[in-house]
Amino acid sequence: MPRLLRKWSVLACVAVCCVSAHALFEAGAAKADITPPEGVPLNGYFDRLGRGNVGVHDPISVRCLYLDDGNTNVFLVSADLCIINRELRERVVELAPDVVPPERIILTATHNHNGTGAMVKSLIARSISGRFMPDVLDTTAQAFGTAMQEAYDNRRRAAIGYGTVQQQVLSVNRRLDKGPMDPQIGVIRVDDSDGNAIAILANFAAHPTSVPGDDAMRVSADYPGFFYTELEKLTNPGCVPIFLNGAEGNQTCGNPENKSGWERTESIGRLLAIRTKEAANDITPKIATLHVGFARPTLPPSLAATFLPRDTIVQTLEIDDLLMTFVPGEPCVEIGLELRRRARSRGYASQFTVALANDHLMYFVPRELYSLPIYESGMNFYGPGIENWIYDRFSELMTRGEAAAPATIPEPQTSDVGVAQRVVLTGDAYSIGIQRGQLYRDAIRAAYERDVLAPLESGALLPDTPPYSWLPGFIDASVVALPALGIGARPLLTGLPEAVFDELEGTAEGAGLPFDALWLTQTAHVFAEHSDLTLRYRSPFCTMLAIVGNRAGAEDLLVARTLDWPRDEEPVVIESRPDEGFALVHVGFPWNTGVFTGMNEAGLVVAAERVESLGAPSLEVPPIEIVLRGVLQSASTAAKAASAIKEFTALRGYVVMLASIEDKPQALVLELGASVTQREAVDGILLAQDPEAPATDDAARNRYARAFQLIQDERIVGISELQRLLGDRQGSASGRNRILNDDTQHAVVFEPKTRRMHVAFPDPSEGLTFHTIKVGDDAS
Amino acid sequence: MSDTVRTYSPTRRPAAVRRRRTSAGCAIPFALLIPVAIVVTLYALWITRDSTDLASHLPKDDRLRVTAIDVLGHREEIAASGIWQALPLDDDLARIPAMLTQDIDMPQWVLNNIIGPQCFISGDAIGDGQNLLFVTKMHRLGVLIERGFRWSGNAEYDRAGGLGLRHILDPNLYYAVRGRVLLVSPSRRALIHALTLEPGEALTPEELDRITVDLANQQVGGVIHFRDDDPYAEHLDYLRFGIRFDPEEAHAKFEAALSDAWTSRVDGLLDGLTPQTLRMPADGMAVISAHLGKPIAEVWKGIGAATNLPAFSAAQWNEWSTLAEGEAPGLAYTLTQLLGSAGPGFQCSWVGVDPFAMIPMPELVLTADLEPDTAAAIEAAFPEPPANVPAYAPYPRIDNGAGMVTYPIFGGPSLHPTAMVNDNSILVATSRTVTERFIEAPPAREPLPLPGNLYLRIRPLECVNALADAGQQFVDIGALKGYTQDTYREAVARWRRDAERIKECSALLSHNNGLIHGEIRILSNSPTNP
Repeated sequence: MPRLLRKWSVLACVAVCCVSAHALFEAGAAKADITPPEGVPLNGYFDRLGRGNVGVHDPISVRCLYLDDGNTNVFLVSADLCIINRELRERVVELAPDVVPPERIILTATHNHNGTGAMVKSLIARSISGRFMPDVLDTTAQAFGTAMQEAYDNRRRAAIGYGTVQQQVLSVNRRLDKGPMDPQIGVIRVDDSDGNAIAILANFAAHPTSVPGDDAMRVSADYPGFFYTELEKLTNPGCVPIFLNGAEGNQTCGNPENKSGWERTESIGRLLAIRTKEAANDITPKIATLHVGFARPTLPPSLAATFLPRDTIVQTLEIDDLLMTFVPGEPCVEIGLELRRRARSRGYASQFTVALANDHLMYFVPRELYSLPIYESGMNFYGPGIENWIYDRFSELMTRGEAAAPATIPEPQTSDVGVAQRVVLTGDAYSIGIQRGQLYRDAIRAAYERDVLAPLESGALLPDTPPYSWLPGFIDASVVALPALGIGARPLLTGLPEAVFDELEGTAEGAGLPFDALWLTQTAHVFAEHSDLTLRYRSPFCTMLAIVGNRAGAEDLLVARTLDWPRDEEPVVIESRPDEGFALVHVGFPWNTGVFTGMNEAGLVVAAERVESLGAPSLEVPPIEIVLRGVLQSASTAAKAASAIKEFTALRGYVVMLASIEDKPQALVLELGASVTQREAVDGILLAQDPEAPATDDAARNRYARAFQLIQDERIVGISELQRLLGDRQGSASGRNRILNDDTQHAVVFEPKTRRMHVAFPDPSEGLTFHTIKVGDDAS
Repeated sequence: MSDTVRTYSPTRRPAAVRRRRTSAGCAIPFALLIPVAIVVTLYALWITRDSTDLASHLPKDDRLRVTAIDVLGHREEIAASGIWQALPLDDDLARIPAMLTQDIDMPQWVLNNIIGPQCFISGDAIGDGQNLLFVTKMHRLGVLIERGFRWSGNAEYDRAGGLGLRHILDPNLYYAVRGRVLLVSPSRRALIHALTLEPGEALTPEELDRITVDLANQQVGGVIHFRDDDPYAEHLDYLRFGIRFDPEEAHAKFEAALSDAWTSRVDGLLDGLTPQTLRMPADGMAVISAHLGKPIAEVWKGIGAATNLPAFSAAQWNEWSTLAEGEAPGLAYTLTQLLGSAGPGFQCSWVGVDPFAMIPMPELVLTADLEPDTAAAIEAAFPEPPANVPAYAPYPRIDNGAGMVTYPIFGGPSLHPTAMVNDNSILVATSRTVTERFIEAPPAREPLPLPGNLYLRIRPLECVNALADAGQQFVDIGALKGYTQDTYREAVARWRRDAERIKECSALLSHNNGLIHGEIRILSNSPTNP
């Protein structure tokens, strides 16, 4: 649009405002220098070790835009800092002009890694931001106050508009080759009544980490500094360029001009300014309506709760049909894109995500990245649920459209099965998890205390290597060791079906635990097998066999198993009836989301047994029972289940018995060692371990030889024979040599054809009393 | 009832008789009273004569002997001392002031006559109260009171082969009296031993007199002879001590003889050492001033020889102070070059804590004597950093203008040990900021009034305040074991209450001819203690 015409259109808008008092729109902008003196540490990199800066490459500043539509006024502040930490926000709000309430003061940082540190008091954060210097905090906050006061003082009649421009080369995904990136540059232009730009804002997602290594200890605004300089050249004097970083968690600068060193930094800033100016030229400012959303929600539980906050600030700024969401940390681009999609579905024409606003809760990664061993997921301390938490919180602040109603969690049905409780859970996987977590909250928390916290407190889980070995005795190393353990367990989530992931999330929420805490509890026994320090948690050993074909008589297929687990556990029978996938029943323990013993409504039976000669369980995949949980919900036959299990190529150390009735009666055993071996029934009998095999240990050889002895001469092996077999105590044997022994938690005979399970929980005085459960039956 | 013979006659008027009899009844005993009184007095003088030398009942070879001078005269004074509230005593010791002033159901004049001006507690085992022997010389009246007590039936007679002991059942105590000497013990065996000492086994009167002279100006004193199974026998032969309690101060003097084994271990530190002029350290919440007659490097190695700690070994020092070809000078090298030749006098002060450093850091200042020509040699020991070493990298940096050598480890100034070299002294602080504070006004290092080899002083409240600030940094992130915000706040308040009772503790130690002499002062925090 020709410049003259645009100016006249602004004048026309302002003229309209003059005759309409309620439509008065004012704006002002200002900036103030916040360049720290030499010696003040910079924030952003651990490897600076808190050393002071050695000089200034280019100054850094704080930039403020004041907006007032007559009803709502707001300070939007951006500073060339790495973060806005709590101490800084609190002090700025204290020093801010008393013309805007605190909930309408929006503070953001460009995430500049060469800006002032020394403002975070937390001892842990000092490793990145350097020593805490209260005078630096105060001086910087005063500069914020100065910029805000001057922006307010500079206010004048104005108009505002926004637009977007696409780019493909200025930013890239820094973790995944050709990974997602945000092509949008969001631009806001604020003009005065003369058509002169008061401020131009650019919203662009990329880490300002382009300062060359030689100058890592010097103060610089990084590429936003060159953006300011270039944009100031391109606009009228007095225009204040402002940079707002986007969902930059996994985004960094591109290098479209193939430069290096400072030239690359300059190139990005300059090109960004040029694209911004192009977009601004297309914007026609007008009188707009403002709305500021503000909330201080409670955060999801975290293993790092001792040093991270329990609540935070979320804010939105709506400028007509533009939604700006201010996120208190570093969201990955996937979250930014999803926020935009959701905003548009609620009726907003455009959406800008502004990261690093008001608080710094580290990184927020989408659930699909949670298990990846990448920096961003390691710095995501609020679990995979933080992603939905962000969507939900901002959804609540949106004024357009209707927020989705919260899901109703069904009530679980309970009944008794002998000494165990039978529970039927319905709904989607997350709801099922919530029901389970709420129902067994105490048991889950007790297992977490027993398997994770107590060993950690005793030192059994602490590495004897630096930095832990350097810590003096009065320091509680678990403060950092616990989050580190949680991060270390996340790779075991790799490949987990979404439904199981969802159920785990729900269970954690229902139990009131951080997701990582629940996952550490689930995986404790796997980690225990990799520790020289503790044998606190033993793996299950069992006796499992299947009778197939004619030998099973009219039933066609029968499976029997005991589960021996050398710990005191509360027995439960849980039936999940998810909205998607097969309903399933499994017999286990309240805290364990996985399935060692289970059958689904298609008649697929799964059971697992630890075999030490097959190797230690892998730390690259979920524990076997969690894998089986997913398989049971998705597969209908033993063959399909075997294929699904084989996809987890790193599974080690178990035999898995699979049996199904669909298509044909079939039972097979997978031996998960360095390679996967599959066995099928011989003469209608399939034992989980071969008593003749050299790798079978003595105790297993005794159990399986005894089981084989009891059934080999039977032409037809029925349910009652198998029940007797599972209750066999074989007088001469002891301990693990017996089929039924002191560690037996449950014994089950499966009838896949009728979807029935005969379940017994050993009673020292009475032996085994079997109770019949049918998958899909009413629990009552 | 009188044993006087009476004559009765029926011819006399009964009233007159009665009157005369009455009158005569008075007169006759009165007449007899004087000789009786003389006899009784003579008897009393006889039995209360000072016939036994107190020293003859104090075993010469007892391992523990405590002497109290005029304990009854001083007991109010001792009990009233603010020191009792100031010291973190266990329950038994904390009861002492109350025990000293409690009403023991005995008139003061009785106590004054039973317990003489000198009291001795003697024992043959440290830490075993059952074998203690209490010996004092009673006043004459005290002896008579004891006789009365003896006749009251409260003490059983124990012939003990003719030694004539008395046994009080509650509390279980044995005692005996010889002349005016009262011997009391919970142990019958210890008492019999004290009563049957041969002349060579007991202290001589001259030895006893010397103890009294040694205790001039003290209220309680004693000597402990350590033997093989005693806690400090490895280090000490004996410890002689005297303590005086004033209203706001406790003052203790001691003399200790090192054991032969320990003497040989600390020979490198103490051989030929005599008291020297000590210099006042920079002001701090805890300070040390030392003069062991040798450079710091030799002191370091001497500590290593005495303690066998690897870090203090000569080999370790030599490793630190030697630079291999091409090796960058590290912190240990820097410190050994700065301090190795410094001394013999050196002072160390804990002047504060920087709670906001990368990790909370104590601020320590060490000052030391320096030979006049050494400063240049120290500077020459540090090469210029190579051009590729960044300005912030850990490397010794010489600032000739300010006369400082800084070694930036990491973080900020509190982790940058910095030395300042003057003509005749060197100052090394753990923090560059602290060193810079002393550029304009270096520590005066005035001589202390008394010579010695080691001087220590601590102000507990300042120490607690500094540590509380440092600890708070860990509590804020939940990393101080055993504390939450609330329990830490309560604990700090408790520590402050305890610490603020003591204004200052100081000790001056010196060595001479194998003996360690020391004086300890504890000032309570009262309004009259400025």
